[in-house]
Amino acid sequence: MLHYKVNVNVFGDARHSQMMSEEQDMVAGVRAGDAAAVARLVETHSPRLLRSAVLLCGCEADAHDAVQETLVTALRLIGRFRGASSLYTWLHGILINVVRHTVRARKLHAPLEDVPEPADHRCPGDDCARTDEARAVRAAVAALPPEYREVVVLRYFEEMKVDDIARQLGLRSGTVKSRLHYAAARLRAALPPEMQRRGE
Amino acid sequence: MTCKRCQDRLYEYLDGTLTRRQRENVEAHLARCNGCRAAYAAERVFAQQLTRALHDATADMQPAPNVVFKVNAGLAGATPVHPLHTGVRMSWIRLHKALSLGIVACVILVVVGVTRYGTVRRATAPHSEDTAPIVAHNLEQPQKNGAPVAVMTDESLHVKREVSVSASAALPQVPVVAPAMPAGAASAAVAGQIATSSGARGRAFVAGEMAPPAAPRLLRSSARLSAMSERSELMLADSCVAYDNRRAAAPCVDVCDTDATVQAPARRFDTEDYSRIYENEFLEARNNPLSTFSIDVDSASYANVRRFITQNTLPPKDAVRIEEMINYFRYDYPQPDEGHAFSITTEAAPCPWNPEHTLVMIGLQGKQIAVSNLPPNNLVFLIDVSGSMDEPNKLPLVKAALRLLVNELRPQDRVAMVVYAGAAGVVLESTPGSDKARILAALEQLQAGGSTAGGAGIQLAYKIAKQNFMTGGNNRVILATDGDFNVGASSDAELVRMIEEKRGDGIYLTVLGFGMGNYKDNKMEQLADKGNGNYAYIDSLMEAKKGLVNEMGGTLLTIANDVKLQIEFNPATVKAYRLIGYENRMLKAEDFNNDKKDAGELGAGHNVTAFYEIVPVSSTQTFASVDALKYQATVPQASDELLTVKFRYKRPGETNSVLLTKALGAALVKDSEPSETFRFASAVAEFGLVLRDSEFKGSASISNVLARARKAKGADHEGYRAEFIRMVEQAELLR
Repeated sequence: MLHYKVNVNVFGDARHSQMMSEEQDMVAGVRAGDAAAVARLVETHSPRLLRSAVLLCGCEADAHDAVQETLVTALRLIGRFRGASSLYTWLHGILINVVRHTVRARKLHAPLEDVPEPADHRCPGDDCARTDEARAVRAAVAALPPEYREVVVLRYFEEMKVDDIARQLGLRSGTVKSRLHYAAARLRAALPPEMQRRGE
Repeated sequence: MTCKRCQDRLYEYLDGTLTRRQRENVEAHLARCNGCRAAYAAERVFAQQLTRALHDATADMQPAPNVVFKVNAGLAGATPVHPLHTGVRMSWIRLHKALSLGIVACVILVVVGVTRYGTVRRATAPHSEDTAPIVAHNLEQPQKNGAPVAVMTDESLHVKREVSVSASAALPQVPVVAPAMPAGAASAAVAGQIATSSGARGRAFVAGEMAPPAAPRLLRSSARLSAMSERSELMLADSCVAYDNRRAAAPCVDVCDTDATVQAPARRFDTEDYSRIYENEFLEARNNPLSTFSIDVDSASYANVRRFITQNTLPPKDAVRIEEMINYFRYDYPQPDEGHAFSITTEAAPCPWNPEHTLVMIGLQGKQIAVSNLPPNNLVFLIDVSGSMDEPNKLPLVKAALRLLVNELRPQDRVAMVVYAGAAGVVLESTPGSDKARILAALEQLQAGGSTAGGAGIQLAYKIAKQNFMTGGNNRVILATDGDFNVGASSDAELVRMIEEKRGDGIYLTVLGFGMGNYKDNKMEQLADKGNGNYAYIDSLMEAKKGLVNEMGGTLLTIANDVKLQIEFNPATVKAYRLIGYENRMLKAEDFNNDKKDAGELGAGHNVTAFYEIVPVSSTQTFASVDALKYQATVPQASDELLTVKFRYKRPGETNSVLLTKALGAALVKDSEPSETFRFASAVAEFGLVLRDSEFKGSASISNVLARARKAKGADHEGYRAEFIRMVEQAELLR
């Protein structure tokens, strides 16, 4: 059984330190204004950012916009990246903020209460050729209220630990856990057939 | 251990972040509790399945193929950075409204917090023990995540006012007195923390809507902030107000913005002056066969227009100088032949916005000189350090821009530095380019403050340039300012006269404009004109790099002086013509042969493009006409040509001009597709016509501009053309 394991916080092995120094070189290059380093940064991280974004935004068009804005912001504020976390984590933090404050701000009609976005929320240009299951998963996530989507994406897509999620989102651990709990319950309710199909 | 507690530890257990003792307790409980064991197993399975499902569901998402270009375009396009993008806790809110919200939220929070949690002392002394750790805990978290609450300390951009809130500095102790900004920003940080930690939606930062319903939500997750004392609340409120007042007086500024582009409220250009542009009209060729103008390589208008559009406003019409927009870009003209300073290219094709007309393009290409072959530079930086320069997009950006330039200097170059503010002073004697450390150190120490005394500074700068004059070298004063030259009304003319006089000594002037709000466009252009120089508007580090480094040859080295064009139109083939742009570069016909008349300069590697829109003689359009002369009979010469272009320029140091001519035959009007250069440059021209809402715009439209520009983008290595396209797309939304 394949399991996509993406290491967000890897510690202490040689490959990690090699990755970190490559990353440091790239960041140094970006800071120096090296166009090749900028291109490398964008190309390395935009695919994964985009996938995260589409789950966070619930809509492909918004996701592309969000990633675009994230990268531009990140490059312009690259001086603030201290290297305490991985570059991707930092970028993802920016993405969260971009989605919160830019993408959602455009949806002028959004009410203030916890009303989930309609399950059939569709943006022009969403690819209809995707499998039903993929669409169902995306729709189920998109149907969650935004703050629950965040924890779901960070936990089950970016595979972060609760403490890290709490830090990334500026929440207490307890809040993160309760949101995960609620979100998991809703997702389980929305996706039982699909989930069971993939059961062990 | 109870089931409730065991299940509460579920996630941490799976994460592996429990202590050994906690883990042992959990496992002991699981051994004897079926319910919890099932719950744990279910979560494990669910996590695996959901993770895989999410990856599968998004596996086909691919970034757009041109994402690198778009990002570069976004960078160069100076899209305002949203204040809250860089870290959840790093919330120095710039927006006026968000601060009002912050004040309201602070106050509500304290009031309700007092009644609900009852942990607030009503003493007037600020808390030290209680509040400091609570607040510091908030602030510590950002440090761990690597995103400091402090302002950027990037080596290439250095903000004079570093606002750092370290983990040990409790928020209540932020001073109320100036600098008001950090205090205000700190309160904004509190507001930001409140709002973001409650998970409120981003749009909550629009004032007024959020405050009342948000209060209960804010409280649920922000108990830690409820312990703030009343007095610290008042201090924050004071500083919010102080910040607001200061902000109301000055353009919006973000202390943290490393790229130093300003996100300003839309209509704040009351102190920006633009001279009225009276567009060139169609002139009948029979009565006005000669069109004479001086070339212009300035491209500040493009950067200026871009600034407006990226801030979601259309630029004022008089800020749109079409010739400067066209000349922002580099075109593919051939290099001149051996011995010549530049080459001339002409091309004609049907006019895109008026198919009955013909569009003629004239391109000059200056000789490209490798940087290593450039003559030695004798540069004097003349830097405005008056109080108005004390914003992140001004003096700090000046320093960053000049730093880029200093790094390119060679040992044979020399640099001196003069500042002016209140008084003028030399901060660095002329220093060779090999001693970069000394030059950079002097640059580093510059601080803004005082009123402007531009006149004295310029005199001093020219004096130093003359003292270190290099024969055969590039002697130049580089003025960096926000345009706020308050030397007194009577002295303006003096200033101009002095610059004109110095021009004769062979010392050129480059003017770099920074910031907005005080950007006195017409004055700066005038100075550059009179000083045989050029000027550029620097709104970002990328623009600085483009102007000062990439084009250093051109910006700094002049290869042709007083370049004038005179076009003679043939009335047999041309009924009327109109020069697009160059309105304030027009010369009288007799000025063309008058070598004493000043005109524009052409720098190494630079190119200049001009468009004429021509009404062919076959057209049925009529124009105002003049009676035939009684005492002179004009005899038209038989010719198939459309026009003849004449150029005059002076080699540097010479006083007599050289004449070149080139004719354009009517037969050369292209039926087939014009060159990529023609198509792109005409798209830029068309965009200018649309922005100006020109009476001559014909059927010009943004969609035509986009269609043509996209197809003519070409290789576009630096992404400038892509940036243009993106800007036009944004402008489309503003109409």
